[in-house]
Amino acid sequence: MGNNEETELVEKAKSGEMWAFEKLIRRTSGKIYNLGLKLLRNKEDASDLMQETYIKAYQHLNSFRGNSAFATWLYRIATNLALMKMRRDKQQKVSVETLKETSSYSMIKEMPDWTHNPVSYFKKQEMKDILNKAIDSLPSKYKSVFVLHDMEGFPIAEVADMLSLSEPAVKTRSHRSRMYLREKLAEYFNQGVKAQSGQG
Amino acid sequence: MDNELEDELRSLMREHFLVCRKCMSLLNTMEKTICFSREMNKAEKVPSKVISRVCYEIHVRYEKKEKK
Repeated sequence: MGNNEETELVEKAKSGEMWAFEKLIRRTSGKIYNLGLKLLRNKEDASDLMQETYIKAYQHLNSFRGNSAFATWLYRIATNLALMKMRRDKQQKVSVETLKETSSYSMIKEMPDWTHNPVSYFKKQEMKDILNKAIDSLPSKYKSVFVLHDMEGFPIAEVADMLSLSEPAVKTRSHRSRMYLREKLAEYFNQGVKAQSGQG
Repeated sequence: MDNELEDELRSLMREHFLVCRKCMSLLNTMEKTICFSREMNKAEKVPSKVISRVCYEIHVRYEKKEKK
């Protein structure tokens, strides 16, 4: 959607033209729904998050000043709503201490570089489950940084803005999350290599 | 990886990666971890009934607001 077209639709929606807001919903819903899937990991919760996000966006439409893209503003609302939901969730998370340890350079174990193994060598669904389970076990503030920065591709500065964090804080959380997930994948790959070579 | 380094520091790091197997492996595995996380979670289409439900909810609220 072009910037001018988006600004026009937002202005029309602000003045009460429902069709314009509906058009904005149809154009941005894919992004918000998929963000919900990544953060909350099920379709029902992603749908509910999408609905809450648009209702909140509608209620606060007049506070949208157009300093960022409309979709970015929606991402911010959706992420904060998802964070509230995740905090209520009692699921066991990996401790911040473990994340700190995994990411400390002196603690990095010498591990084989598994990146030369073709993905087809491993069971894709199994790998997906392991990776997503590891992502889900990250504390919510780490998970949201990983999803927004590494999976959705937002720059550090935008993620910091969306989550009301400093840029160094986002970088630290991003680094720790990456190192933890890398280690979880390495465990999986190493087991696979052992099994293939008859050692496991 | 995030394209946030100054050119000078980036080329110093590149030189280091050529001689340090540990760091090279760290970089490769980290990049691949991110790549897998993206690949394994491809975008899904929003069910049209979900979009309709959201639009309906907003309509109801709009109408209420206008009646007030």
